[in-house]
Amino acid sequence: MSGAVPHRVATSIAAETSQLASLRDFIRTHVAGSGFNDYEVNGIVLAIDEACANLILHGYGNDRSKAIDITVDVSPSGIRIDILDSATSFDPSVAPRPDIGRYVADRRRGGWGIALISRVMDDIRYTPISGTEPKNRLTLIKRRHVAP
Amino acid sequence: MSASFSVTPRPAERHTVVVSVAGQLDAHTASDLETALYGLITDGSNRLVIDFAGLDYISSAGLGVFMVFIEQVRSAGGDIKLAAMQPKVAMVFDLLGFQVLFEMYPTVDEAIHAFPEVAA
Repeated sequence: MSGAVPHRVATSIAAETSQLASLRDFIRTHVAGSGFNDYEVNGIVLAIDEACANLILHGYGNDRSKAIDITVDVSPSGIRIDILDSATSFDPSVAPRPDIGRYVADRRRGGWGIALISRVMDDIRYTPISGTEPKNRLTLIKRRHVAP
Repeated sequence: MSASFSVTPRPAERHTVVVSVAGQLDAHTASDLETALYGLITDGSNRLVIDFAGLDYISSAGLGVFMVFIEQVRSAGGDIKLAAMQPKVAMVFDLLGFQVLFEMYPTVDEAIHAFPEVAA
């Protein structure tokens, strides 16, 4: 597929919301042209933004002394994003899926991030990494859907 | 680099206020919108049209701001109507099914005229 040359890029951001815009620019630069259409690229950028915003606000309390490491792997089969942090463990892949109908009915202000991620990505995986400095790895996967 | 975001209200026909949003509305900038809408509603404006034409990006933090105020303005007889969204912004509303909650219009003018006339 044109533009689907396998490659890996990585970046690290401070855990504050002011970093999200430059992170989105970074992701968009490296995902655009990798064989996904504009709708899919926008969804991938949104999913990573939502995951990192959750980490920044709920995991780290907007503490810029903390860091989030993001790796993007583009391959012929799709794209894989690994988000590594050392905040309190939270596994969104087993968190109850938001009942969107109820959230709308309740006029919920927050809690939409995981719903958005699960709607635009094909797979969400969480891996705790033990050690002297335990970390969490959140993996988001988007596969290429080739027309038959 | 921080996301650039601006919010600019202006009075319009039918006792509405058109609130133009531009730039990127995310977890960093959502508080700017919340402050602006809070000020307008506190001052008595409850017929609001949000002009999205200049908005390039929205995340769930931005959507949540509209959730905060929608019941308040409707209980006062008003509404928050959304207009002129770019497709990449409309996509986020669609993904969550928000079109059942908010009225969306292709143009600001159509959104303004969806409000009933106010008796003189």
